[in-house]
Amino acid sequence: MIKLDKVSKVYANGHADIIALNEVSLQVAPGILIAIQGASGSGKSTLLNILGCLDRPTSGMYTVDDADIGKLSEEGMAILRNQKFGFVFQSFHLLPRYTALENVMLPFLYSLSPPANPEQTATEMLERVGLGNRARHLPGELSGGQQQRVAIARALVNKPTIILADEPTGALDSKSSQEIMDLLSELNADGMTVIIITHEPGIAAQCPYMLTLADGRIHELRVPDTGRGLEKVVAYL
Amino acid sequence: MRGRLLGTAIRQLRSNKLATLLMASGIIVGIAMLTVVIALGQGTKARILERVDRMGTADTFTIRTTPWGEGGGGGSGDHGGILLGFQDIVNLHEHVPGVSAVLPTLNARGTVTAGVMVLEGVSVQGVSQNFQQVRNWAVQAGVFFSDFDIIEGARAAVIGQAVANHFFAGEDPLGKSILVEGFQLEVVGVLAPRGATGSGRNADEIVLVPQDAFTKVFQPTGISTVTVQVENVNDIERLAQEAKAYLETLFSGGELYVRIPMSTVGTRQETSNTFTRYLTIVAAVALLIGGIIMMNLTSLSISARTREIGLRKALGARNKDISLQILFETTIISIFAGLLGVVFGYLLKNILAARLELQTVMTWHAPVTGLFFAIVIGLFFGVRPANRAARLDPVTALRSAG
Amino acid sequence: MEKKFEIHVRVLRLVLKSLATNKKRCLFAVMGIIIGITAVTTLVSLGQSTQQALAQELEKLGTNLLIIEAARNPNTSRGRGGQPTTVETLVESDIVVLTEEISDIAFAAPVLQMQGELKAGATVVKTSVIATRSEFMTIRNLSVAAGRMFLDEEDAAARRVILLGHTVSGQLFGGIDPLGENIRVNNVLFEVIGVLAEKGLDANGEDQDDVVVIPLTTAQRRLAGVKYLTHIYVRATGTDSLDVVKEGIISVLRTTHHLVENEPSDFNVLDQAELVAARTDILGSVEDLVRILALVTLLAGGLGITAVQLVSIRERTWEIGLHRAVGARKKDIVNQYLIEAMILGGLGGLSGVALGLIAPVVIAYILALQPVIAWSALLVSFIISMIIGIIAGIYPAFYASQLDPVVALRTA
Repeated sequence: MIKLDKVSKVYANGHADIIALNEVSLQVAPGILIAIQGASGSGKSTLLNILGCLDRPTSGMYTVDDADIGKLSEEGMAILRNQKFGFVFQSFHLLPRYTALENVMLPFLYSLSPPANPEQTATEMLERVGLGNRARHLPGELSGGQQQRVAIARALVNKPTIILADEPTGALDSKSSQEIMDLLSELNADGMTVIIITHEPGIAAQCPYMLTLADGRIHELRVPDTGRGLEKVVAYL
Repeated sequence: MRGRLLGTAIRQLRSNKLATLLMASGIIVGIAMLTVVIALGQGTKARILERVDRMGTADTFTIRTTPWGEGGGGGSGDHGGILLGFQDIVNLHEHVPGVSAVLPTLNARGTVTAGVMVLEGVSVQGVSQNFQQVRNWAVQAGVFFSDFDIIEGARAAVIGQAVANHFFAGEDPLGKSILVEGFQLEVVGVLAPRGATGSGRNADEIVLVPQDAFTKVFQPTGISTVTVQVENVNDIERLAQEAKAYLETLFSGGELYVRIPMSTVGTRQETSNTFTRYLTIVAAVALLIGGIIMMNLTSLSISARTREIGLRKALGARNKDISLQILFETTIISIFAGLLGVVFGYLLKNILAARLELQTVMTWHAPVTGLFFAIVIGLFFGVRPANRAARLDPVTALRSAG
Repeated sequence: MEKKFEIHVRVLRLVLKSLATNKKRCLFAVMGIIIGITAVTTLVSLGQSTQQALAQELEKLGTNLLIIEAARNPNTSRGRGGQPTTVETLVESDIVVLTEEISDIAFAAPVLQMQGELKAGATVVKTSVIATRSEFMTIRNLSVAAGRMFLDEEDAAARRVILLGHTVSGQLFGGIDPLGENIRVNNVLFEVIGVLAEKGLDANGEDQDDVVVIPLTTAQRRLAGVKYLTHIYVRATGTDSLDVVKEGIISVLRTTHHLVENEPSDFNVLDQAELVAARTDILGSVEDLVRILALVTLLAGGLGITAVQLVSIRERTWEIGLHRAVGARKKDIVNQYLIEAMILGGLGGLSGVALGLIAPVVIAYILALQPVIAWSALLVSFIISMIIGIIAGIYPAFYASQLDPVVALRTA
């Protein structure tokens, strides 16, 4: 359960401050698949970074499962990033000289209690995303879509509850984009909360929920027609 | 956790061998320089000190049967007192280890004539083969006495430059005859010029004859003065006392008197100190160079890895995980680079020492010190970049081009 | 169309911007050049300071000492006191002429040396008597362990005062303080006013303390009754000028003594050949070492400079790919990086020279050495470091600009 209460993010820039997020209040129940849309500069990336504990709000409160993130130390946030969240980036961010398998195993390095057999778990994840046979390949030897799938496998490997994806299909062709979207939907069906930032309407349309940001504020929230929607995600405009 | 980070550090170093090598180059260069510098410096220092020791008779001591002060500057004439026997001197070598050569000194002043020219009060010395080594005085023209000459007491003479100039100016003195106290001798060699002694005497006003020839001319009944050369100048005081003690047991006349050259002791010490200070500076410069290069390269390579670091943090790496990984990498590089540096330094030193004609000794001190410093430098100059990298903000880091 | 000048300004601005954004890399590139120049200059300068210090140390032993001795008398007559006679042409006025004509003479002292029989009570000792002036002490690096040296007035008045060498003092008085005691020198009564500091055996194995010193005028009037000298002791300003002084003395004295061309000199000029030779060897060894060190250091500096540029080659390749992708031509890139390399090189070079002038002086001061600036080392290291710095700065740019922009962009 994610709760944002009047969260703002302000960047100081000389005498003209930039207000990336302006008192955003939002509640997201677990197991949701939600897209975040908005023009560039609307604050969507900033929102994702704060949600994923990559950044701290300047003011307001952010709680995850009733734990106040603002009270966490740098170390505490790192632990959350490792255990609770899984990141997927637009430019994949795979380490170029490590194999696919090694890339997937990277999060284990920082886990407080890694699995007994990390290689096995990682291989399972690769198989889960359909790349079991490419474990020993370097990123340079994989297509864009395959690389992103490796990135997703990496995001999954510590069994997080929330997946955060920043324009995951931005660098892919339409066929690969759809493959990735299908994969993310599958993961959501398995119970994971999936939050996707995207500017592609086709991708956003496949998400039951859609949040639109403008000028650092929540502009609009679209919920699915099947009733119960407003209970799961609450946004204060 | 640490074990995993160590593994990652190793994996990271192996993955980009070029970068690793470049980072290591700072230490390799610094340590190699240090090894070369120390070895060449020590070699030069040893050569310099050896030269100081060889100045004149700085590595010898002198024992007399009578106290100094019985005549002007240096031994003179035979004395009425009982003297040492020739055999006693020969055995000194065996009884006092550390002695490298013994030169009994037979010294007198005599009249030397050649043709119609006369020189009075010339220093005449009876010598053995050891003269050249102990006195560090070589012949410039002709030859020194052969073993045969010494043993047979041949009627040969080696004259000093001043004597040659006085009697044979403009001619070749070799093969000519001179008379020493009426005794005829053939000139076989001329000594290299020595100039003045410290007391103002002209050292080149000298005539050398084989010991036995001296005996025939001046009839001394024994040796009154012995000059002893030592192998290691550092032991000279101890050996002087030992030799004196030993000879006193043989000498029935009681006490013997020993002197060591003092003026060069201070010189030796000062020379050693001055030169050592220079070497220290040089070593410091070498280490500084290595350290600065290492720091720069580490810092740069970390800048080139900001994106990777950002990613690791996004995956849950804490600040200290990043710090530790980089410190491990730096230490591993330091160790290997240190070893490589020592090896290169060793090879380079051999090449350069051969060119300088220096003797260098490689003890285990140099490699161990080198390695130690390599690690110290690596840690010292690696800590700051490591901490800076650790504190990078993951969001900005991920966006950077590296 | 942009005018030529405007193009240059634009490129310059681009370069400066690039430098500003790449502060670290530029700082390190500059640092490499600075280190190269400063290290080499410092090592060579200090090496020369050390050589000077060593030379000074050796000078204490008398490497810059020249002794003019009166030549032996070719006649066979025996002299007084059983000593060999010398010619009588060496006189005090010679000293005046010498010091006037030869500028590299620091000090000169007249000496009349003779054998002396000293009596103190019942003890009799034979030793060498040196009759001279007070400059003698400076020239021979002698000092007084007890009492004092005689004054010029005492010499002028021909006072009968004497300084004993350490050995002689021991022989005559055992361990007792001889100051104020009276002794007879060749039957003339003298008062002991000082004892010379112990010097030990010299490099030839002779006892330097077996000597006594009295005023020259006293000897000339009361002991020997002569006006000539047996020696003139000369100290040259430096051992480097020794040969020049030697030749100068020979030529001046020959003129003063009215000697014609083929006549042999009635004097000899001696130096302590052995010491001078040792000095040459020692300074030469240091010189050799310093030279090698300079070379090694220059090499190390060059490697450092190159390494710094190589490490950031990837980053720069990507940058260059980007520039080319937006329209820069190959020669624009080379141009830009050439200017950058020259700016950095210039900065590094000047800073290096500045530091190279300061560091040796500061360190020399700390080590209590004479500060010396090795100008040739400064120049050579400056030139070489700059060349390496510029080439190392340009080469990666050159290499990267040859690549297809797409390939270059992929290196990130």
